[in-house]
Amino acid sequence: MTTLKTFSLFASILVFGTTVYSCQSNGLEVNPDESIGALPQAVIDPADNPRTPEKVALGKALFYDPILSGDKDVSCATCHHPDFGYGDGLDLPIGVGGEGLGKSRRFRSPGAVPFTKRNTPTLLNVAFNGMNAHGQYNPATAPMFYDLRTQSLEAQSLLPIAAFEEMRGHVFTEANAIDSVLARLRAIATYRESFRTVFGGNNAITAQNLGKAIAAFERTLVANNAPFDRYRRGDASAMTEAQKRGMVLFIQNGCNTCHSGPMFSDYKAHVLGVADNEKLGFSDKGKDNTYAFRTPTLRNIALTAPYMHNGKQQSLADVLTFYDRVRDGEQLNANVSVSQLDSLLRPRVTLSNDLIEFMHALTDNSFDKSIPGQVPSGLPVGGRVQ
Amino acid sequence: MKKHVFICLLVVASQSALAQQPLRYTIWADGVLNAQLPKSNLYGLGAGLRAEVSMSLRSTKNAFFTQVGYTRFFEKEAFTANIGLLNVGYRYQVGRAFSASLGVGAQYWRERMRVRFPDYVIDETFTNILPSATVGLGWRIKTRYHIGLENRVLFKPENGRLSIRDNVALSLGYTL
Repeated sequence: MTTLKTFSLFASILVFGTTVYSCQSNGLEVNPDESIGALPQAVIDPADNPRTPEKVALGKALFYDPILSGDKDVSCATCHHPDFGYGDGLDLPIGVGGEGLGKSRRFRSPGAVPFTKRNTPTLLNVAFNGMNAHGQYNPATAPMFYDLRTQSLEAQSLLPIAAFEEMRGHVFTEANAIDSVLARLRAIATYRESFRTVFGGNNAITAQNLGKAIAAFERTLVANNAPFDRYRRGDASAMTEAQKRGMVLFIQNGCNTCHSGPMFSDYKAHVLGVADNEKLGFSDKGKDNTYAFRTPTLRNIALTAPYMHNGKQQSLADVLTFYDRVRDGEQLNANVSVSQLDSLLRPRVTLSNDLIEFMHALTDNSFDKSIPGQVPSGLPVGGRVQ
Repeated sequence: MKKHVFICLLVVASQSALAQQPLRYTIWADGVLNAQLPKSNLYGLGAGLRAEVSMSLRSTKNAFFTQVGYTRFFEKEAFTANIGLLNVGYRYQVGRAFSASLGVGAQYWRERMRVRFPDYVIDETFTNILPSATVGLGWRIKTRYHIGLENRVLFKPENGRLSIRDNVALSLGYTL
């Protein structure tokens, strides 16, 4: 009897071992259209705007020069500052009428000028905007802004100059803002010489060339060597174990359905129902008044808090909690019903340290942080940021 | 010095007393559930076997046990895990059939991660030794059969923080 029991026991162990051993992993398969990969090492320029060192230097001078703003106190760098990953660290940007930098930036006369209505997107890797899951993109048609209203950096870079709350202020009208700024630039010898050198001709200071110069500089703001990039290029030690687990959770839970491709964005607009930012005083209706906003890149996300199109989420943990609340059927924006939410909105990840660790692996801190010592106008570099 | 001699004598005396107690051998078959939030876990179900040696401490209500075992977490999307475990602990018999136990030990985790990108396959193995603590409840059926429910908590120091893994095992035991 004892022999039979012993035999049965060992037989059971053998069956168990065989069963367990046969359960081999086939692995998590990633849909080609939702794949995530390394950023390319090089940037493509549009055919009509090849980069040259002189053009980039001119673009950089313009980027930091508040001469482009109505009151000469706001530059592109005011809200896209290298100290904040080429963002501003605020939920909603303060352009015209502001002073200070980052969290300490405030309105000199609160209420006189409104906040800019959407969170400042980082300019890091903006050169790769529009890149699809297969790594293909066309810089001449790259989608820009949360509502996708413009294509290409060349076109985008002019719009804040004419926007009242961003740079224009009361000094110009929207219609004559660009022409007025161009007149200012023509009055400065250094700019006349630089534009002539870069673009040729005596009438080189044009809106088109202004946009091209700024865009050329912005295409140098690349951070394409994050731990995730190195990992996907074959360096298995580039990511920590927690980051690798986070990557699996990211894919397993469908985050890459929208945050796809090397830029972790599908560059499409989706309705998430983020609560309005009360600072605005009105409800931002997004693209075509549908409450849809473009998927932001997750690149360098550790540097660009707060998050969402209106900066309502202060931390990555808050963002994950937001997704769970939406997933649980909660209506967070009174103007967006649950039935309006994007059908792709199906992340299932409850607050996970591993997932946050993975998002930190998308950050590359080795980008150009240099700030020029002076700008051709002689105005304070970067605007009123002290 | 006297204190140390006294402690040594106490230990030797208790060992002598323990040595007189009979050893009991039990085999446990485990069904294991990853008890972390299902939304954020990498594992679902697993199975395992444990061999236990236990010894009564003075009265039959108290027992010291040592377990060695193996567990495998089956595939959930990308991960599988093979686990070796060592656990020592104390079991208290409450009444005739019910017992409660506490244990500490370590688990050796060998995890395999496979992700198939369209252009690239990642196939990596992580190995870790994780300290563990267990809390268990048990029911004895007749004299040789047991049902156990055990919570296994594992500690993993990582990047300056302590991550915790939590597994629950439902077990069937047979004492030889």
